[in-house]
Amino acid sequence: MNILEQKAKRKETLMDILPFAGLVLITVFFIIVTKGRILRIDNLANIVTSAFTIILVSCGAVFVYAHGGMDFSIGSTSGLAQFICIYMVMRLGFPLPIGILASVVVSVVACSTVGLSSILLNIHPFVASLCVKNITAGLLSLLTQKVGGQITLDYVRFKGFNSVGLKAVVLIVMIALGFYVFEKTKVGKIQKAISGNERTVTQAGINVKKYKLSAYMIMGFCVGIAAFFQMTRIGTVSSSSGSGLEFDIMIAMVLGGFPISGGSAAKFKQFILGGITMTILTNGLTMWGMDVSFVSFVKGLMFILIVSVSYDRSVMKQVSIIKL
Amino acid sequence: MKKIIVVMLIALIALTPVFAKGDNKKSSKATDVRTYEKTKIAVVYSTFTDLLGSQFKGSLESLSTYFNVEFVFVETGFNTEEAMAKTDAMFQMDLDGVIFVTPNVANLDAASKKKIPLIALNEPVDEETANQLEGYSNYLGGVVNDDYAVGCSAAEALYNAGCKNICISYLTPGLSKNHQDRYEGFKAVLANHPDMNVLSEYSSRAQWPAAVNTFAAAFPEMDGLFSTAFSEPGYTAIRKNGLIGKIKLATVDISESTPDYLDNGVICSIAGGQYNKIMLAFAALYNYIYDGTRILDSLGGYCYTPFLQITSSKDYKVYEKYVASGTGLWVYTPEVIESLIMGKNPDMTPEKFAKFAKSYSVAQVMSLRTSN
Amino acid sequence: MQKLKKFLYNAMMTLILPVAIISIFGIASHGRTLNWRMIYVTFQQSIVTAILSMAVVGHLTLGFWDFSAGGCVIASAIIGGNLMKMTNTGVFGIILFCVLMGVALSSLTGFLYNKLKVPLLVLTIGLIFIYETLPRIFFVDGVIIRGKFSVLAFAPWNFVVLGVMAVLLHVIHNHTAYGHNIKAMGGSSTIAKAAGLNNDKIVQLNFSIAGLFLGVASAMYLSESGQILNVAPLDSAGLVFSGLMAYFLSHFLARYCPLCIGLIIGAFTMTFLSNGFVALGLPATLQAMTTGIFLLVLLAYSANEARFLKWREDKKRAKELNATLEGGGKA
Repeated sequence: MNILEQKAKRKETLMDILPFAGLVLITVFFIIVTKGRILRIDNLANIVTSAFTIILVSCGAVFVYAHGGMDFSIGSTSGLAQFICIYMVMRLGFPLPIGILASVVVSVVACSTVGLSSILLNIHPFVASLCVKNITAGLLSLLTQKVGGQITLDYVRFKGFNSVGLKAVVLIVMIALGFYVFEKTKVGKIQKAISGNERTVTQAGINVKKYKLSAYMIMGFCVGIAAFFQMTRIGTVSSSSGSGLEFDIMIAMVLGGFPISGGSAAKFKQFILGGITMTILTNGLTMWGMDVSFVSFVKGLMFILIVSVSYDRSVMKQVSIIKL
Repeated sequence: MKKIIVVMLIALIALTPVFAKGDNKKSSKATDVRTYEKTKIAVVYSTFTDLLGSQFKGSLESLSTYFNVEFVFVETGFNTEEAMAKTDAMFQMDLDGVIFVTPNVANLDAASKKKIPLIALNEPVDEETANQLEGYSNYLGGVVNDDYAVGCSAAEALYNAGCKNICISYLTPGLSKNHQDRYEGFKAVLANHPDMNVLSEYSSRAQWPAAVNTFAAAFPEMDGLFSTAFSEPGYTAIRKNGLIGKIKLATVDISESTPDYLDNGVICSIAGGQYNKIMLAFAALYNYIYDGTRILDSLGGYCYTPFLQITSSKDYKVYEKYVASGTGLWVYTPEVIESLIMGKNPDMTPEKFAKFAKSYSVAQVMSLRTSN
Repeated sequence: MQKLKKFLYNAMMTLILPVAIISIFGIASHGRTLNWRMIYVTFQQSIVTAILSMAVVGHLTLGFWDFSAGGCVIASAIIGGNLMKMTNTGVFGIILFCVLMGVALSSLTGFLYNKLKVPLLVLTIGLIFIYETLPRIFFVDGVIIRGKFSVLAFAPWNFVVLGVMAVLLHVIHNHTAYGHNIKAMGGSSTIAKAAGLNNDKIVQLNFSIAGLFLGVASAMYLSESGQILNVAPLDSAGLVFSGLMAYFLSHFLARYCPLCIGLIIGAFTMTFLSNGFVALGLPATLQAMTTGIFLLVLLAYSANEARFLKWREDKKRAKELNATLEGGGKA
C-alpha cells in the first residue's frame, strides 16, 4: 500500500470510529452527571424501548436516504397507520394481524406516493413529502375528529407487545434483515450507486425507477410495523400521533454520520448508531434533571458538536434540496 | 476556526449546568427543613412556556423550600414518541410522586412498576381510559376544573347577550380534554336554543386570530363568538377587523387585554385563573407521600374546582394582584397548602378538602391572604 | 402595442390562479366569499407569509433549506420586542431590534455553515433547538406588546412594509451583483467558483439578507399577534413552510410576473384557500389535505410542462409528417 492509500485507509477508519466515539462520549458524560442511574437495568430497558421505533423505521429509511431521497411525511403517515390499525381492532373488531396488515398497507401507500411523485412526476422528494404530509396529517385529523378526538387501546390486552424481550427480538431480526439486504444484496448497493451517478446506473441497464420505488416501499413497510408498536406503547391515537418522527429519523441519520446525499459512504450501521445516540441523548438529558428551559438548548449544542466532529466532509457534495 | 467553534461548544455545554438551576425566586420564606423529609416530585406537561404552564411551574416552585421538595419539570412537547421516552426516563429518577396533567394508561403502568404515586390535573380522556386507570393502585385521581360547565355558561352568556349568529373556534380534538369538554358543554346548551345559529366552526392548533380573521371576512352577520381559549393575538384580530361593538365574545383564559375588552363590552363571559388546581393536586399528592392518605378516594377519585369568572376591569385588577402573581405572590401560600395535609392538620377531612377546592374564588384568595 | 398586449397577457396569466380560487369558492359558498372584504382581510392575513417567502428565496435559489428560520423568527420577535420595551423605542424599536436579531441569528447560521462545512439541513436541525430556547433563557414569559406598538399590523402600514420589502427583494435579486451571483451559484456552485465567485462570501451574504427579511417578518408577526410565547421544541419548524408553499406557487407564475409579485400572489392564494374552507363550513383539516393535493398537482404540472409541450409538439410533427407521406412525399 502506498502512502496515499495508507492515508485514505486511516481516514476511512477514523470516519468509521468517530460516530462510535460520539456515542461513547455522551454515554460517559451522562453516566457521570446522572451518577450512574442511566445504567440501571430498568433504564437500559427504557433505552431499548425508546430506540425501538427510530431504529425500526431507520431499517427502511436507510434505503431511501442512500439514494439521496427523503421523506418528511413519515410522522403523519405513522399516525394515520396507527389510527387505521387501532380503529380496525378496537372499533370494528378485526383480528390483530389484519390491523397490522392495514397499518403496513397504509404506510406503504403513503410512502410510495412520495416515491412515485418524485420518480414519475419529477418533483423533489422533500417537496413531494411535504405535500403528502399535509394530506396524511389532514386525513388523520379528520378521522380522529369523527371518533371524538382519540381512540384508546385496551392496554392490558396488548401489554405483551411492549415487552423488552419481544422488541429486542424484532429489532435483531429487522436489523439483520436490513443489514443483509442493504449491504449484501443489489437492492441496497444500487441505492448507493444511484446517488453516486444516476445516469451511469441507468446506462448500465438498471431500472432506477423500480429500485427507487422499492426503497420507499421498504421504508413504508418498516413505518407500518413501527406504527403498530408505537400504538401499543402509547395506548392512544389522536391527531398528534406520530408527529415529529421525521425529525427523529433525520437526527438519527445525522448523529450516526450518515451522509445526507447518500452514496457509497452510506452504511447501514450509521443509522442504527445514530438512533441509539439520539435515544441516550434524550434519556440522559431528562435524567440529568436540568432546568427545562435549558434542555433543548443543550440538546442543540450537543447535536452541533457531535456533527462538527464526526461528519465526513469528504463525501459531502453539493446537495440541492430544492430543484425546481 | 472549526476547532475554535468546537471548543466553544464544549465550553458552553459544560457551563450550562451553572445557569440551569431551577428558578426559586418566588419561594416563600425558608422554614425548618427538618419538618419535612426531602422529596422529589416530577411535574409533566406538554409545555411550560405558555401562560398556564409558567404559572404551574412558578406556583409549585414557591412551595419547594417550605416542603423541602425538589420539583423536576418534564416538558413533553407534542412529539408523542419523545414524550413517552422522556416520561420513561423520568420514572428512573427515584421520584416520590408525579403530577401529570393528562396521564394515559402507559404512563400509569410505568409509574406502577416503580410504585410511584401519580395524580392528574384532568379526568381521563374517555371511558376506556377511565376503566383502565381504575386498576392501578398508584393512581390517586385528580384535581380538575369543570370545563364542561364553563362551556355551558359561555353559551348561556351569549344567549343572554342576545347573540343569534355564532361562530365557534376550538382546539383540534384530541389535543386537550379541557378544550373538548368546553366545546361539548357549549354545544349541549346551544341545542336548547334553536334560535341560535352556528355559522361556522374552526378547529386548529390554537390559531385564535386566524379564526377571528376568517369569521370576520366570511360572516359579517356574526354577532357572537365562542372560543375554547383566547389570547392577545385574538384580541388584536378583533380590533383589526373592526369587531368591537359588533360581536360578543365568550371564552376562557384571562390575559392582559381582558380588562379592556370587558370595558368595551366585547367580552360577555370569561373564565380563567385555573392556577390553583396544581397546588391542590400537590396537596392531595403530598397527603399520600406524607403518611399514605388517599384524600381523594372518598370523593370518587376527583376533586372539582371552579374557574374564576371576572366581569369588569375592576375585578381584573384584584384578580391580577391576588391570583395572577402580579405582586409575586401565588394563589395559595405554603401555610394554606400545609393546612390541607391531614397528617399535619388533624381537622382536615376529604369533605373539607373538596369544599375548600369548590369555594375557589378571588374573595377566597383575598381572605386567605389577609388572614395569613 | 405588442408590449401592451404582452403586459396584459402576463397580467391575466398572473391573476388567473387567485381569480380561479376566488371564483370556485365564491360559487361553492353561494356568493359568501365573493366580496371585497374577504379579499382584503385575506390579503392582510397573507402579508407575513409573503415576507417569509421572500426570506427563503435566496436559500431556495441556492438549493438550501434552513430549518432554523422559524426559530429565528420567534427568537427575533421575543428578544426584539423585549428590547423595545426596555429601551422604550416604540415601533421604530420593534423594527430595529427585530431586524438586528434576525440578521444576527441568520448570519450566525451562515457563518457556522461556512466554517463547519456540514450540510445546512443537518446544521439547522441543531440550530433550531438553540434558537427556540435562546429567548426562553432571557425572557421566560415571551413578549407582549399592546395598543399603539402594534401599528404595523394595521393598514396602511402593513401594506407599506410589504411594498418596501417586495421592492427591496426585486432590486436585490435582479439589480445587484449578489442577485446574479446566487443565481449562478444555484445553477452550479462548481462552475461559479471556477468563474471566480467567492462562494463562501455569497453564502454568508445570502444568510444576512435572509435575516433582514426574517427580522421584518418577525416584527410584523409580533405586531399582528401582540403576544408571542416561547415555543415547545421543534414547534417553529413549520412556521416557514407556508412561505415555502408560496414560493412554489410563485415559481409557477415566474414567467408571467416578477418574483416579488409571484410571492405575494402565492401567499394570498394559499391563505384564501384556507379561509375558503372555513367559509364553506368545512373542517380546517380538509384544507390541509386540499393544500397538499393542490400543490402536488401544481408542482407535477410545473415540473413536467416542458415534457408535455415536447410530447404535444412531437405528436403534431408526426401528424404533419404522416400527412406529407400520404400526400406524396413532399414535406
